[in-house]
Amino acid sequence: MMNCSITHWHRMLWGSLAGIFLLSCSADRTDGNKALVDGQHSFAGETITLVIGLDASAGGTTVGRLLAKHLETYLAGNPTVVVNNMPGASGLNAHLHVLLKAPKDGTTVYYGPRSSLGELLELPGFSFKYSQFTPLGGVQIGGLVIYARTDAVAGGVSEPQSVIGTTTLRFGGMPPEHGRMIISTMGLDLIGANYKYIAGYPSSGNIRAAIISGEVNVATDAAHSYLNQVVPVLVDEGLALPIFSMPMLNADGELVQNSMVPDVPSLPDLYASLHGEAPSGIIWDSITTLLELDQTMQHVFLGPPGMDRAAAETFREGLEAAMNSVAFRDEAQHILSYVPGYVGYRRQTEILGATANVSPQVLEYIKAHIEKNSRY
Amino acid sequence: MFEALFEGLGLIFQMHVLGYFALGCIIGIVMGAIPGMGGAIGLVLLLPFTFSMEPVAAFALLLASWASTSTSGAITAVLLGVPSTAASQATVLDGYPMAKRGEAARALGASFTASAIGGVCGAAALGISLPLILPVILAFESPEQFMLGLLGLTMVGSLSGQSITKGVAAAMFGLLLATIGLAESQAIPRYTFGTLYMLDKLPLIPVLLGLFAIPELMELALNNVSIARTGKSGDAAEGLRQGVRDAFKHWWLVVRCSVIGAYIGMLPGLGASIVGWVTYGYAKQSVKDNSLFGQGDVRGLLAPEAANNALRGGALIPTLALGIPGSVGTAILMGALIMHGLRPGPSMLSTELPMTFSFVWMIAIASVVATLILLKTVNQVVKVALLPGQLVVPGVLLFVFMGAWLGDASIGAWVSCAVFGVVGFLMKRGGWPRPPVILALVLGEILERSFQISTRIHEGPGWLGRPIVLVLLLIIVLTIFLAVRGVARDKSAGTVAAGEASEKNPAVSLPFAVLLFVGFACAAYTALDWPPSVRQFPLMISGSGVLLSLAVIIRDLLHLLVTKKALGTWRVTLQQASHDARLASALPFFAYVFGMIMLTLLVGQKIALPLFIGLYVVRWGNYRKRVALAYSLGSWAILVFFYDQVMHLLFHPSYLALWLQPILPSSVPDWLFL
Repeated sequence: MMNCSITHWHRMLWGSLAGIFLLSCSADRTDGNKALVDGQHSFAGETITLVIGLDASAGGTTVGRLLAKHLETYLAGNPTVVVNNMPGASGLNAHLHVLLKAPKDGTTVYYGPRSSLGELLELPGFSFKYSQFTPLGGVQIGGLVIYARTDAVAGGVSEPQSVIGTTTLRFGGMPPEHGRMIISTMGLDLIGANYKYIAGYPSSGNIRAAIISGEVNVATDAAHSYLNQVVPVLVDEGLALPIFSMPMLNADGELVQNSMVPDVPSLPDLYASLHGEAPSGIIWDSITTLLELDQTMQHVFLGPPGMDRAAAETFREGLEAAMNSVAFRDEAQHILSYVPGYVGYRRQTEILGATANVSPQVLEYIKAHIEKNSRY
Repeated sequence: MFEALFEGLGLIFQMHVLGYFALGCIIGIVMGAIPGMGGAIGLVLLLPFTFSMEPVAAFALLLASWASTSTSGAITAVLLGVPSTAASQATVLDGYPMAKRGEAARALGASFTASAIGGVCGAAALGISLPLILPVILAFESPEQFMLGLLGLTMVGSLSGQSITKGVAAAMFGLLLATIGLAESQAIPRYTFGTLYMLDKLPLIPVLLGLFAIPELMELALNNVSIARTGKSGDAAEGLRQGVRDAFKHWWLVVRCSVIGAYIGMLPGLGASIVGWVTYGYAKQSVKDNSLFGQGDVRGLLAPEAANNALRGGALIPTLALGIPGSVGTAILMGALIMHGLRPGPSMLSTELPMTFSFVWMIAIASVVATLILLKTVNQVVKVALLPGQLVVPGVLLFVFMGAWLGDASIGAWVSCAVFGVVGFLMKRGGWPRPPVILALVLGEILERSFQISTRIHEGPGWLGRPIVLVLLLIIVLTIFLAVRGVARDKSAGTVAAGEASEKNPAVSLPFAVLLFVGFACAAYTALDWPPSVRQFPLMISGSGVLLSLAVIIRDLLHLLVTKKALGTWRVTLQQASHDARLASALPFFAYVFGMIMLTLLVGQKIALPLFIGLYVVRWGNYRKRVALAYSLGSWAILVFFYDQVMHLLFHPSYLALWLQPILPSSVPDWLFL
């Protein structure tokens, strides 16, 4: 009896195992046709993993998940696209995972923020260059808006010019090496606003909290966060006012007003209204350099070095089609309340390569600016 | 206001909303019971499904799941001594000793009931104080947050067992661990040893699981006893009823801790990680007879469990009203709000007030529903406490290590978990309290940040004169006084130490103290090269740590000399100490664990973990090979079908995978084993 039950148990066990294996093989065979479809690589039957260098709660992860959903429709072969968060070391672990360990067939791709500034300044952990990756395309999340509490200066802030020449501004910031902080405070320097840089806030949410309580009175935020979280809590209540928005670089490399905040004066316009001329000089050169390096393409898709060419091409085409599709744009507007912009891989390559073209004067100025904001 | 309150309740009572609500509760219960998962991961998994849902149904699903994790988090904390979420850390202290005593059903009944009461009381506290709450939240700027963090740290006094010196030294160790990674004030790496894993900061969950879970599992492995040391669990149904009665008997404590939990939840940044410790410390100091705290006093279980459910409602307020999420979970919820066209801001407390109240209702009702579901399952769940230790250990180790892995999918998490397993073992055997390490690790970052921001803004210590700061300072002094008086009273009364930090083995404590001394000294020396804002905290911590560890070294040396005098020779003394600490048995256990990590580097988790489990069951458990095979296959199925196919977890890209994947034909389903 006992032997019989053991034999039965063994049979069931091995039978189940064999079943799982055969099912998996047959599933792969049914869908796993990687043959070329119309001369193109196909991801049919594949699972593509987007390794996201952010934690699951970050807004960028939501963008990544949305893109993953639409990539399933627009990538040739309609693969399954899954998202994995690898936030460690500010996303550097995710970069290195794709750089060193991802297969070359395009089934593992990096998505998320990149820091060309980290590469330029050789910040801790940057043991690689972005030019080592296979560029697949980028995403423009939106520019920056710098705003101040209306009680930031004596007499109140009634217009952007009110903050100039005062000594009571306290800028709530993350570590001074953060690209968004550097360019925003350089903008304040450019228009002649004096401020004390209060470093140490770990996130934009903490800075917004400090602005609301009045602990600091000037801050910067991404345009969509400004619209969704600053406007209803502070601007609509008469507690804050936008000072300026950072301009954006369009596909031709020209400076344009941020279309998400058309009513907020852009930095060059504000400067021109104050000085009667277009901005120039080392501060402006540094700002335009940082716009190209850090603010034009906030998120990137990167493949491993030496990624299969046909797979890379298919991915690029699928990404472009997905991001320009009406379905994606409508859903993005509904879910994110803005539509992320598409950056083609050629433009991406230019932006990633821009670190090599930074002039020594600008580099020195950026370092000196960080040093100034680091004083304790 | 009352109209909005009932309108909010009415929003929930729609058939499809109730359906999503029930589904959310069940998902939340499962997520909360698996180590490392927690509410935030449940939200991440559910969020994409809500894209096309209408707001009330979407939030019924999300909030029910989020609130239920706090309730079910008690299961592993009580049964296995493994805190499955950050919110259930303090539950271990008295919950696990109760399970060991064969009172698992009573402990679970008490904790689930306290969770339900906590959820309801927390929501009620919010409802009552909603009109007044915003000015209070806004009054807590960096100086007040620093003092509140410091107040949290004074709970070390209640968590230190019989040696305040060891407790404070352990807290300094935790604070030093909190300085690991890039400084907030400047991108300079501190104590990372060149590794990327520690560049951000040391993640909490692997440290928590290592410090608490691994020493307990090792004890089970070495003794091969069931969790219920008596070998039998009392009548589960009666135990359950007793637990429910306990919660109502101590209703005033439960209500007070719920209110504390709700208000701590409102302060962004503090949250789940400290609320358990703070309310545990509060309960211990506020009850008349606390001599059984740490040894299975049900009040030590009720306090954190009530608070961690009440916290959820509190955490919603700054998220909804100010757009300030205080945790990963609330950040995801805020994203969901925006997705569904709701803008966080004052409108959530005016025009959208019924919606806000419906969210508060959902959290309160989810706590109750989750409790009712869980109470039904207790009879079955407590049977785990009767399983032989050797059968429990490998399966739990799988969940512990995968729980550690969930955070950032790095092998560093496993190394961290295993290393802190060794540290936890040494601390436990040497009579060092472990809770202060975790409490300080959580609070360290908040303390450093808020201290430096306060000093920067006020250009000096001027912030110390702010009214709330002074009130908090007074409470801190009072708390320290009460803690010192309590320890002194215990010593003078000759109370026999038991529970956390009760073991006395100077031969194990001394080397650990020496290690800490050397660690603090090296940390101080390294910090000298950094700029002022980066070195300030590490220097303060390591300076104090050097002195405190030196004090422990001197005391341990004296104890050791006394022991040596009693036993005759150093050899006998050390042999006895090693025997008491079971060092000889512990070494092979850790060798297995580190061996598993090495094997994972070579062949990946899907092969290494089942192999480790099979080997363990055969070699340590002396079970038959077919039992080991079935266990291994079960573990492999969990890895492949749950963690891979459901969770879409990124597994370690092993050398085998890197070599084999490019040459395998596409028809081979490599995801089954690589």
